[in-house]
Amino acid sequence: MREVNKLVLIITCVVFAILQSSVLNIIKIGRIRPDLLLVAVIFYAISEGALFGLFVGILCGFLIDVLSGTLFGLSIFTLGITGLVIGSYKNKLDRDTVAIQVVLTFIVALLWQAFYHFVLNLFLKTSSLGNYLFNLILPYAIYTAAFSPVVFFILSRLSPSPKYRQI
Amino acid sequence: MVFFRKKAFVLLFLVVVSLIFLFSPGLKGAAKIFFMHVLKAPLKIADAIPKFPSIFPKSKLVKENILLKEKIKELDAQISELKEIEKENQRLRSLLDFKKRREFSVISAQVIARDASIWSDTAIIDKGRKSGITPNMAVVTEDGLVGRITEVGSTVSRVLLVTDPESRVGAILQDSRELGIVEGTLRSILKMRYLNIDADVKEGDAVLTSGFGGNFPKGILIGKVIKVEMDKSKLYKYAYIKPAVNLGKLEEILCVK
Repeated sequence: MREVNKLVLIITCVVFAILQSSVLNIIKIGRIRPDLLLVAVIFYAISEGALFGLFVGILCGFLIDVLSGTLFGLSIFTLGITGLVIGSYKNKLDRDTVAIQVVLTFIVALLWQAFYHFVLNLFLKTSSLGNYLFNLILPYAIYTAAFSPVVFFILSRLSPSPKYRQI
Repeated sequence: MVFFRKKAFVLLFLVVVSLIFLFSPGLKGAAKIFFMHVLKAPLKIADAIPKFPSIFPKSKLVKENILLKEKIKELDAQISELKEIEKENQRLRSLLDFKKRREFSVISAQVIARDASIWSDTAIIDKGRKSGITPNMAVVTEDGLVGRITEVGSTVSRVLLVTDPESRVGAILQDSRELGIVEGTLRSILKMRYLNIDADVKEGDAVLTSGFGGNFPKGILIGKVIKVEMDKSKLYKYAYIKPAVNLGKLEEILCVK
């Protein structure tokens, strides 16, 4: 079975990280912009499984940590775990269904940010999750979910679904 | 079984690597700076894309509107500065001192990337140690305060914006001279805390840097008060502040030496 080209995957994630930190600022609403890297983690996790999800989660988490001012290692850890968990649902979710893409992205975005906030709170004293829920996490989850079909479409062109791959 | 053992091993490895990074400031600083350098060139290219002229010509009214808004901003900043000059003159009776204070030299830089996470508000600029940037330098635009430098590489640096929750700036109300601390809230507004319970603070008051703490020169416009509330403890007031600088559209900034 043909596997996902790791080099293409790494280049794609780096390009997404660069776009997320620069070009996507033009479609920013307040401080919120769609998170391409989270969608990439979800896409590869449900396509390839838990270990692959973990790998992409670590890669994307690393890129987020490099391009952000928060604690280094936090996104690597939380997004890695997120990829691992979503990857366990590999055979239960059809990545080509738009409704699944949107709903899954919305739920994962909410849970990941809640998890991130929990771990962040262990190291830094921040406001309670409730303070950030309506003005940060929810808008972020909605915007990322709304944008997810575009990212899924791009990624599915680069990495055909395992069910269509030639054996 | 082998699969689960492998998974557990990878998970353990991930936890160890993350913890090493989280608990070793030197290592994470070096790694961040190294990869910021690696990403500098593609970030600069990507940053230039939205700046291409629009394919749709702007109408005369839209152009006029933009020009007028810019003019208002310019005049607002001028008024604030003039008021500050007046106060300074009254208190110190020495224009010379004020001139000296304003005579700081600056290094101009371009913002090439914004924060990739929603939990912090930082920007990466295209100047570093080689251009004379050092940690904790104040960063401003012609409109007011932007933040301070936190990480410095040889040709790139990171700016912690005033809206980041880690940002703390010693501040003073221009009219009443009340002191407080301005903190970031991760939203487009700031919070000025520890204002005296009987402080004379009202909507529209200009908030400037106090110069206390040493990181920021005194008298830089931070923003204007939009709302005043009493803290739950009833020991002090706090005010919400609209930043003078449109931090969502940062392009050129000045690092104050």
